[in-house]
Amino acid sequence: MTEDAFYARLTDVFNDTFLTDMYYGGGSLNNINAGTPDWPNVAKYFDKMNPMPDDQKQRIHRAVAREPLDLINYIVRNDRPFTEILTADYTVFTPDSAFIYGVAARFEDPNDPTELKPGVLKVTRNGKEMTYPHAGVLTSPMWLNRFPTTPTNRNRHRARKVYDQFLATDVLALASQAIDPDAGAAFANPTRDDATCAQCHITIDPIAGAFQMFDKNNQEFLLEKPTWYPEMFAPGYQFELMPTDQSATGVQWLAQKVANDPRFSLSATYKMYQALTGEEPARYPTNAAAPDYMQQLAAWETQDTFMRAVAAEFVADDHNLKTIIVKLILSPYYRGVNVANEPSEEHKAELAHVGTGRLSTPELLAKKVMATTGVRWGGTGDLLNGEYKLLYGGIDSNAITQRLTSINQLMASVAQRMAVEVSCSATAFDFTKPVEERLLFPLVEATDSPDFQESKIKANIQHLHLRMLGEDLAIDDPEIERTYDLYRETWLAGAQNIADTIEGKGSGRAGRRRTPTPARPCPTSRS
Amino acid sequence: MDRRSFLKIAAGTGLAVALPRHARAALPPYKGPFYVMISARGGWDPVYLCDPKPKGTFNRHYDYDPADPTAVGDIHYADIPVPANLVTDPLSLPYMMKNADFFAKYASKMVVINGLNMATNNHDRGVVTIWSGRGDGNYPNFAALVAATKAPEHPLAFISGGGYSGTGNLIPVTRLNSVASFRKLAEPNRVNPADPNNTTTYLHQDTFDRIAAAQQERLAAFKAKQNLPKIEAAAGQLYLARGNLDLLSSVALPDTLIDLPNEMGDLERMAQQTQLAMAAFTAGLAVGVNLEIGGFDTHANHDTVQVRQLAKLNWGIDYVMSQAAMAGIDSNLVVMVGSDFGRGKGYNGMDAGSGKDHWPVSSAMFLSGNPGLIGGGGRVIGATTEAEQLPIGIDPDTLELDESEDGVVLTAPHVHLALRQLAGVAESPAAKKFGIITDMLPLFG
Repeated sequence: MTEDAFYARLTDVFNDTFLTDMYYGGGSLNNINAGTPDWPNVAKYFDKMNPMPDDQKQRIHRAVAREPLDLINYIVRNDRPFTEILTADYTVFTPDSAFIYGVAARFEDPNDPTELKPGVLKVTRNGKEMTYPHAGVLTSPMWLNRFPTTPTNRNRHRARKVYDQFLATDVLALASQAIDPDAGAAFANPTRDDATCAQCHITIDPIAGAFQMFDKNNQEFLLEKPTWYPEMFAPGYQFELMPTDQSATGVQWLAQKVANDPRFSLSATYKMYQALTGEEPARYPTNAAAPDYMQQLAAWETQDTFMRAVAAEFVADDHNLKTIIVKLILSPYYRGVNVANEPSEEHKAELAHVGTGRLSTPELLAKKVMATTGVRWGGTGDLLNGEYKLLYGGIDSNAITQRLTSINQLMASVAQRMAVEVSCSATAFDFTKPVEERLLFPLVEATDSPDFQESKIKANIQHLHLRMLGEDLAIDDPEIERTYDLYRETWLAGAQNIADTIEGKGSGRAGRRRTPTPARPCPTSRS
Repeated sequence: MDRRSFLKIAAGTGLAVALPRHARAALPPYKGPFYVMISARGGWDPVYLCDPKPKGTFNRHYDYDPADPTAVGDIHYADIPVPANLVTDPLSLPYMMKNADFFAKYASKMVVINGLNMATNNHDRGVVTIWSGRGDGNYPNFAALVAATKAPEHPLAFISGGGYSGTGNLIPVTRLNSVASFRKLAEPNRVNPADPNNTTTYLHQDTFDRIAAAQQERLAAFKAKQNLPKIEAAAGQLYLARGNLDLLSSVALPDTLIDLPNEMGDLERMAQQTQLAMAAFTAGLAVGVNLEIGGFDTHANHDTVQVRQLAKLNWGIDYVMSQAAMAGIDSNLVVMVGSDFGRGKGYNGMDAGSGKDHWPVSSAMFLSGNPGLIGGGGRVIGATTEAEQLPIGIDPDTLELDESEDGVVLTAPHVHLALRQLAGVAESPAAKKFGIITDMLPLFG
């Protein structure tokens, strides 16, 4: 958990929740430029008389967009308490975002767009400098814009997101009763005085009030003197009122309360469980009439007990997120690969959550392709993060925010096309390298034939099963034999095709190139 | 592998069973009816569409007199002009359709449901409710439910271009977004499917087929040895997904997708999704599709933004119907148009830039080129009160308005139960698994 790839994955994981990558492709600067002079260098970004170079603009808007996710990475990379994603009285800047926000920060390499330094935002109101009341992600300009408020919403949307994202609580589920449109008609202030409305608002509105220092239209704009609505439930947390002298920094008060809530550690555990296994934690079974209800209940109780134990260890280890990851990876929920005997239907319910069998996200598959073959599908860009991202079940963090978790036919076809294009380049490219540098074919040469080098070929197939599929098989395993048969049959058919001049003999363009671009064809056939 | 072995492998995936190419004699094309679900995302304002009110608290934009209504037959509509200044690019104007034009063209092919109590003011819950009939569970979108019942083995049975894409794990969701990409995926071994004169493949087709067969054999062997239900199900899903890949190439896609002015990007996406869906319908590979256009959450600038989005929605619906007619399937098509909830009751401010907030009372519209499919066109069921924009109950037998205590207030479960009846899936195992308990109303005959 020190490699950059780990933190790239962490970015994907938390974006699935915060969805702030909606701005990564563009738009982040527009959101902090809503007609306010808070960040003077923003004007330079938009200056048409002295246009900024496109590459600089791209670095800037990406840095601004990634700020909340970078903050999380910074906290985890530096083994800081994970509670700081809420309680940090700072945020992090790259050289580009520091420039745009006018933050004085010292970078070891000002040209490194990935270097992160902590700092604080400052704004000026009526000639007086004010420090932003940083509260981790909650005060990120991107988070505030991604989950906006309106004059009538009054931060209730944000309150709901606090529950959902940090407290593992769906406040909508609290109101299982349907709303009667006529409800509240007899009350001048129904959200407080009508029990039907108040059952939810007493939970939501106090947290909404903690965001009162932000403007109701200009999302990240810090108000000089916040005011709140006396007809709403007063700002607070659970049944504790927020001190009135905290109104200008109430979000920091809220952050401390949430971070100390036992549900916060459970929420972090749930999130990492979903990231690692691809499924949400088990839900408490509610259908007592189900024939396997007792087994479902047992499965839930077992997992719930485990989750709570992991959360407790997370807290005991000073809220180190890596502790959760280690505990989950060591558990049967991640490591389970099989059970010896076929379980009964009832036992299946007990085992429902064991093992992963997850569908890789497009981002994960792209990383796996690169890690195993040394080749990126699509050359410098990656088709799994571009053309095929949504088709393979990914999200755009904007209109499409739910990942597909079951494979469909088009997704299977994406995998097939990836396989033929990448294998075409990766194999030919691998043979251009010295044996000791090869990733795929360290034990054979391209000229080896099954007639004379069967054992070498099988040994390489064994190597490929381990490298590509993570299967550590004995040389006489039936799966090695199956793959060898496929190879031999194909080799013989290919030899015949070459003899019949149906196929070419060379390894194509990819075999002559040091940096393959798999989107282009290599050895081709004409049907 | 024989059919019995395959079915054994497929069992327990949680998904409907599809047959791989060597196990099916011939997969008959699905011939309809086809279902299109159009989501006006964000919470639309029926007062500005199909549930007009006199000028006043709820309407400050158009004239409407209940005694002398703007109407086509029994369907009343809000006669809102669509001024040119709603858009910045004059080229965008043709992509907005006035209510008057829309209802003149489609009222006879339409059923309008007004006074629909969505029972929520929350976007997420509203979206799930209007498209599945239940707001508090993982219920499938109606189109997914029909697809899972009628043609689960078809590779594009349920396509989602936005909206609520929950399937209750009955069937996979498919996304389509590009002609070029689809062509590549329909023929994954072909180097350049866009060029009809270039049949070059990456691998010799025999090799490609040999590898595909070996993959399936390996997966089947893996699954046969696997006893953990979650992993076994995942292996089964992969096996099924690989089953009918060869059918994708039968989809006749348009050469290019429609190109609208930049400010019409949301409508362009909906229109392009429409083109792709029609191609999948025509090929007999799809049963239902979700379409979406957002921008209806008009807490501010209601009189411009809501009006503009509704005019775009009208054009989008017209595009669906027109494309279906061109494809020759409009008489075998059912379109449902709905939203998270309604807006109101009145404005949240007095100034021109004020908006309308969430209001649980909404409407829904159903269209078909063959109105018989929806029980006859030109009908309005339900209403809202003029003074409070509250739902008025109906007689459960005659569907006439019934303001007495016996009147039934229409809800999403009523609509979905009737829809299930319309589609002939009400008694299917999938429908029973995701049961809806409410009164059956003859909304669609």
